[in-house]
Amino acid sequence: MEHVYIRGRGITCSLGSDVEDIIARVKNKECKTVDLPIRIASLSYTRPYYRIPGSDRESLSDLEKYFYQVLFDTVYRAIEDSGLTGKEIENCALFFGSTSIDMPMFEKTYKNLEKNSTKILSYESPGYGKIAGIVAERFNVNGPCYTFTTACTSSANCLLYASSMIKTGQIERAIVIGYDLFNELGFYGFESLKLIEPGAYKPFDKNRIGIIMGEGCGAVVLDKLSKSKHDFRILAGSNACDTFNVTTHNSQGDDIAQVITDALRNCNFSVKDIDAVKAHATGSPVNDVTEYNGMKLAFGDAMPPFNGIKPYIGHTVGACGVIELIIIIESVSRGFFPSTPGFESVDDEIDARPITENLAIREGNFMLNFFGFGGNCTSYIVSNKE
Amino acid sequence: MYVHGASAFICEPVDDINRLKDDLKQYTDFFFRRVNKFILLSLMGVHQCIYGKSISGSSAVYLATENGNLGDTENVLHQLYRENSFPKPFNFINTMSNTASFYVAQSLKTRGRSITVSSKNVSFERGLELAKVDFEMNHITEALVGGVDEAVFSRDHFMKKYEKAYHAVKLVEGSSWLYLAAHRDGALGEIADIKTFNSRDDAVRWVTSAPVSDPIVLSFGILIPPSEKEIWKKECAHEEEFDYLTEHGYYDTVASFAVSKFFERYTRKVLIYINKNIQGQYVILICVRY
Repeated sequence: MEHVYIRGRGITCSLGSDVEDIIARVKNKECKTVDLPIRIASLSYTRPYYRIPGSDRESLSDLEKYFYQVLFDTVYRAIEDSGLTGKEIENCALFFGSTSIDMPMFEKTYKNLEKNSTKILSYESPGYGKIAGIVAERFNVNGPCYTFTTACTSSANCLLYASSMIKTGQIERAIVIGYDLFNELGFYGFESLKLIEPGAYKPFDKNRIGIIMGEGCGAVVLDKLSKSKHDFRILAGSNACDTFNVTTHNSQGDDIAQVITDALRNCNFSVKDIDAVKAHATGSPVNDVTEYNGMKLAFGDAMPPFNGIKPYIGHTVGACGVIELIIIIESVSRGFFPSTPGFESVDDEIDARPITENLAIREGNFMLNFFGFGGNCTSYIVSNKE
Repeated sequence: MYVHGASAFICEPVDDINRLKDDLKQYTDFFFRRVNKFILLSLMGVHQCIYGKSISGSSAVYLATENGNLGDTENVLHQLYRENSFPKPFNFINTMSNTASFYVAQSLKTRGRSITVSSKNVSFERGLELAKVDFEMNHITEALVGGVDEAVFSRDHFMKKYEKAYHAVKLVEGSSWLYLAAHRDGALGEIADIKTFNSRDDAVRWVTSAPVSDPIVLSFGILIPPSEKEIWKKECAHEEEFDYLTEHGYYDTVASFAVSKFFERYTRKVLIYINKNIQGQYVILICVRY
C-alpha cells in the first residue's frame, strides 16, 4: 500500500493565519477569547468565543465574501505549501468536513426574510455539497468531492477516508478541509444545552464547566509522494459509532477504547509505540470523564503523555480534525508537543493529568482523538519517524 | 461488494410524521421518540432493507444525503429568529444530519462506523465509494449504504437546478438502502464498479469496454437531458432503459432508489447507471443482478 504524506497545510483560526506565529503563540500558551453577547430572550450576559481576528461580517454580502475569503485563502496556502503544480492539483480529490457548512449565510438570509415565511430551507437549500463544489471550481480541482457531516469528527473522518483512498490507489492525492465559521445556531444551541464554559477553558480540570467554541479553517494536501523527508505521514486510524446516546458516549469508555485499540491495530502498533496523544478534551464535565476512561482502558499502565489543545483555538467542531492536526504536527516540527493551558486541579473522579508544560520532542508517533455528537468516535495516528 | 438486500422506499411528501411512525412499526419495534421526518425516513428505508435478516453488530452505516435534515434546522431558526428564544435541545441536536445515521446504527444495534456524506448530485455514489474503500482495507465486512432526502418543494429551485419543468417529474420523499457484504454466498448481486470521469468521451469508452455478460439495463440521472440519453443509448448496446424518474418520481439522492429498485425488479441483468453532476462530471455505476 502507498504511504500518505501531509505535504501542504494552511490554517486560519483565532490565533491568526501565519503558521510560524500561531505555533509561537501555542508555545507561549497564549489563549485569546472575545466575549460575545447573548442577544435573545431579553437576556444580557456574554459567553467567551475564539473568533478569527479582524472581520466585518454584519451584512449578508460581507459575510458571504468573508466566508469564502477565509476558505479560499486557507486552501490556497495549503496548495502553495505543498509545492504541487496546477496540473497535479487538478486530479486531486476534495474532502470537506464541517458541522455548520453554510449555516452562517443561511441564518443571515433567514433573519432577513419576512416573518411569516415557512419551509424556507426546503425552498432555498443549496445542499451540503455546494461548498466543496465551489472550492473545486475555484482551484480547478477535477477529482471527486466528498462532504462529511459527522459533527465534531467531520474533518477527522475526511482525513481517514482520503488517506485510505490514497493507500488503495483509488486517488493519487487529496485536499482535505475542515471549516466551521461562527453561527448563531451552534452558539445558542450549545448554550441551550448549558455546555458553554463562562470562564477560561480548562479541559480535564476538576473545575471545568464546559466547552468554548471557536471558528477556523484548516486545509492539508495529502499525497503518496513526500515533499521533504520531514513530512508527517498519516499511518492509519479507525472510526466507529457509540450508540449509547446521541449526545454522550458510554461513560465507561468502552467504545472509545475500542476505536483507539483498532487505530493501533491498523498501524500494527502496540500502546508503547505511541509517543503522545492529543485528546479530544472538550472540557465538558461528562465527555472528559468518558474520554479518559476510554484512554485508560486502551492504554492501561502505558498511558502516553497527552494534552488537550482546544484552549488555544476553541472547539472548532467539525473543523477540529484538520486544524488540531496542523497545530500538532507544526509544533512537533518545531521541537515540542503543546501543553494544556487551563489545567490546574486534578479531578479525583478520573485522575487525568494532561501535560501542563510543553513536551520536548521532534520525532514520534502521535495519536489524535476526536469524539462527537451522534456517537462518532475517530482516532488516527500520524508519524514523522523515519 | 455483494448486495444482500435492497429497499426502495418513496412516498408522497409527508406532513404528518405520525403516519411514518405507524408504517415504521411494521418493520421494527425500536422505540423512537423525539425523531424528525428525516430520521424517520432514514429508519424506514433501512429497516425495510434488512427486514427478516440478521446483520452483524459491526456493520457500517453510510448515509448519503444532498440536503440532510431540513425540518429541524428550520424549526431551530424559527425558535431563534421568530420566537427570540433558545433552540430546544432536541431540535438543535437533530439539526445535525448525522443524528439520522446514529439512530440507524442504534436501531440496528451495530457499532460499526457511521458516516453521513454528501456530494452535489452524486451523494449516493460517493457513499458507495466510501464503503468500497473500507471493504478493500478490510475495515468492514458488512455495510448499509443509503440515500435519504426529503422532497424538494421549490419550483424555482428545482427548475434552476435541473433546467426541467417543475411538474416534469413527481417530487417524493425517499430512503433507499443497500445491504452489502464482503461475502458472495446468498447475494442478490454485486456492485461491480464505480468510476468518475471528467468527460463524456472517457465515460463512453470505459462503459463500452466494460466486461459485461448479461443483458444491459441503462438508467440515467436527472441531469442527463433526453438528447444525451439518446446518444448514450446508441453508443451502448442495451436491452432496455429503466426510466425510474417517470415511473416513480424524484428526490435528491434518487440514484439509491434506481439501484435498489433494479435489484428488486430484475434478474440476470446488468445495470449501467449514468449520473452527472452540475460540474459536468460523470459517475458511472455498474451493478450486476444474479
